[in-house]
Amino acid sequence: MIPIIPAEDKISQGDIFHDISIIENVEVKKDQIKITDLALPLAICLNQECDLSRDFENKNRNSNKNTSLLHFLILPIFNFDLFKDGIHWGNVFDVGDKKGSKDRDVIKRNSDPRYHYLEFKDKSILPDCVIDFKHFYTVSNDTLNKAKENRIGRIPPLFREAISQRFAYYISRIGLPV
Amino acid sequence: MDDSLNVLNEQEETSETNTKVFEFQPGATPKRTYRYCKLIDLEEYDSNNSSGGQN
Repeated sequence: MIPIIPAEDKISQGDIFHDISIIENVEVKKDQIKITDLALPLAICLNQECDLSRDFENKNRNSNKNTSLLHFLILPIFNFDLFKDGIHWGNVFDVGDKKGSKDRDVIKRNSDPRYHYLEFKDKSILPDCVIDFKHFYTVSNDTLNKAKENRIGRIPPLFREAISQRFAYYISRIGLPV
Repeated sequence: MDDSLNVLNEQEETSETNTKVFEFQPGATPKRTYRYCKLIDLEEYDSNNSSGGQN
């Protein structure tokens, strides 16, 4: 079971945010700009911790070195109860597949490379959740730092590295032709 | 004396920050919304907003 520990001053790998909005698309037509926003109820920051530490140091020194980060990597976190019924994306995507008990068990054991199951210790903070590695976004450094007070807490070391490692494995998978 | 006391208090602050009280909404899902902005001519904007120069 994963504890949720207090967030630190700096943004850390494993920080869980609530109500984060990202810009999905910007479209310019004649004299009008249409901005499509995607509001995420829950999201986790998955940048490497060393990169986040260096960015924080640079910020404190008012340094503009190229070890600063322009954007942070975030992945949505879904309520597992909605996810298993395929309705976790709301009206963003059509209803997805329901997960039968066998599929749910595979996901809960983190045996499906696409998903990471989050069984939190304190259910009063967050229920069981899941990350879908297929969906990841970036948000500007400025935006996420301004949203620091939207942090619920953070996933501690080892648990967060496990997520990061599985994510890296998933996005580097190779689909060979049949 | 008061200033040095303030400095001491700042140094005693922990690195943990307080986070807002959060209440999980079980039915919350991602939502897509739209905003519209008007493109303006930059030169026109600059000339309308520049401060007056010497005559």
